[in-house]
Amino acid sequence: MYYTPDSILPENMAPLIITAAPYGPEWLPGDADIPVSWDEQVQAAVDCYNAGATMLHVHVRDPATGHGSVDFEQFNYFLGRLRQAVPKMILQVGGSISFAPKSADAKAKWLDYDTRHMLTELDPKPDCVTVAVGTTQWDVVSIMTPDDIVGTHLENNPKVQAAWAGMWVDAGPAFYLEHLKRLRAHRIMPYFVPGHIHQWELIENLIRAGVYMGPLNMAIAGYGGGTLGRNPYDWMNFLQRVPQGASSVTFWSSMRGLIPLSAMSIVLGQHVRVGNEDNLWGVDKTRRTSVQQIEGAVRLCREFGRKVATAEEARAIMKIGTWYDSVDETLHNLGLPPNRTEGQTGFLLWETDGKKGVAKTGGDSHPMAYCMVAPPVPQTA
Amino acid sequence: MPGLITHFEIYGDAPDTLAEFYREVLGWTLNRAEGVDYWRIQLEAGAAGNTSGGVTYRPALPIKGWLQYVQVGSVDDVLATAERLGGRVVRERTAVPRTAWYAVIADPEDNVFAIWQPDAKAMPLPEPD
Repeated sequence: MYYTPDSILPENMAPLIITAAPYGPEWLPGDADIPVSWDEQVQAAVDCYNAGATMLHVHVRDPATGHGSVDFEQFNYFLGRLRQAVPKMILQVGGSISFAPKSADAKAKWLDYDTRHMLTELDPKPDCVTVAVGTTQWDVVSIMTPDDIVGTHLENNPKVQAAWAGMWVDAGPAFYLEHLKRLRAHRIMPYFVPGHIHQWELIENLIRAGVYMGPLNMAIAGYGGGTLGRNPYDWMNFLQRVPQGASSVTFWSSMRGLIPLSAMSIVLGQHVRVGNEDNLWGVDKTRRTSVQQIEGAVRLCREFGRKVATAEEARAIMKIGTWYDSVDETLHNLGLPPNRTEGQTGFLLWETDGKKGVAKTGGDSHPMAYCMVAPPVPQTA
Repeated sequence: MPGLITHFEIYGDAPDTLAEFYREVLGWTLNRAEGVDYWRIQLEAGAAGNTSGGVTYRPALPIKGWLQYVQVGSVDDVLATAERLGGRVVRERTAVPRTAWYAVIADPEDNVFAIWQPDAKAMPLPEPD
């Protein structure tokens, strides 16, 4: 992204979209404010919305087993209840789900990726499904400190820690090419979650190849352990690579590291995700619920002078429901250079009619445009 | 109370159809619990020997017939005793959230039953997805 001198003035920023992630699939109810029953899971969404979150990162916990649900019907049931309870909220379903059929016989016949592609067939439809592009180690434990897991089931439990340390996301082209095709067919927007710049490069290639044609909404996923860590220069470097026309970029990170990164995101005009899936703590090392974290993001944003998005504004910023019909249209809207044509040399620019543009009256910080306009000829008596 | 049967379950690949079967054959009232694949059997309230039950999908276990759940003081202790006496663990200790721990055992003659330890704090460990 390119920052002009007025880009970092809060009144010029798009209102802040706060994503709530209150379903913490990695935690037990005793670890954090984890909802279990259907009513609790719905109420969590309502509470987050009332606190200022306009997008909900949805995981479903099966109240009968306590595990993350792998039941397609349960997802539909829960999405239906969410649509009733928080009709304006943007529903973003976490994409790391492999649905399981109900009977043991059927389970044996199902193809692995088909169980993931079923996310594209959810009914009612979510607004977005997160899409990983590029297989990644996702060792969320490596960046955690002992303080981070005090009072949780991970504390003094090296076996469980090792299980989480070994997490990785399977997202090769055999998965994401078909998945993106099916998302488009069902008009569900992908929400990209690159873990480093080179996964953004994969996404750009998909856009240039016409595999994805639509607005760009993405997280920068920095959980360490194979994804981006906490070095602010790396975050800035990534942000520099994001095209100017991206609709929204949200900083995702974990534990107390999320707090300064969220502050960075807010003052840079980007967006934040908070909640117990990512963090359990405040800066003072005492616990914060998901709602308290949202309230903190709202406070910080207002203190800085930036507006917090309403649900309607968030939908407009993300261009929910918009699709493009060609590669060129997509590249143009995303602020990316065109694809190279055969035999074309040099750096790539969009063709213009060759006419000089009208000088801006301000905003690009450069006075040269004024200097080039001839001053009026003095009138003599 | 330990030793008493708490409830029973009936399994099938089409539990909704199976629920209808029991409605017709035994006159039971079966209602699907909201948002989960479990058809609760509602027997006459207060009747002598009243034991509740449910119909659901067949788990990946070698179980045919109704599965009886027997209350125990400690699932872990009972599993150890059962194994020592020639029984076999069919399903390891498993949580029913905020309700109980249970496990499934085959006796030395391969009769299968479940044990049930009430615990309002029961919850399974999360697993990386």
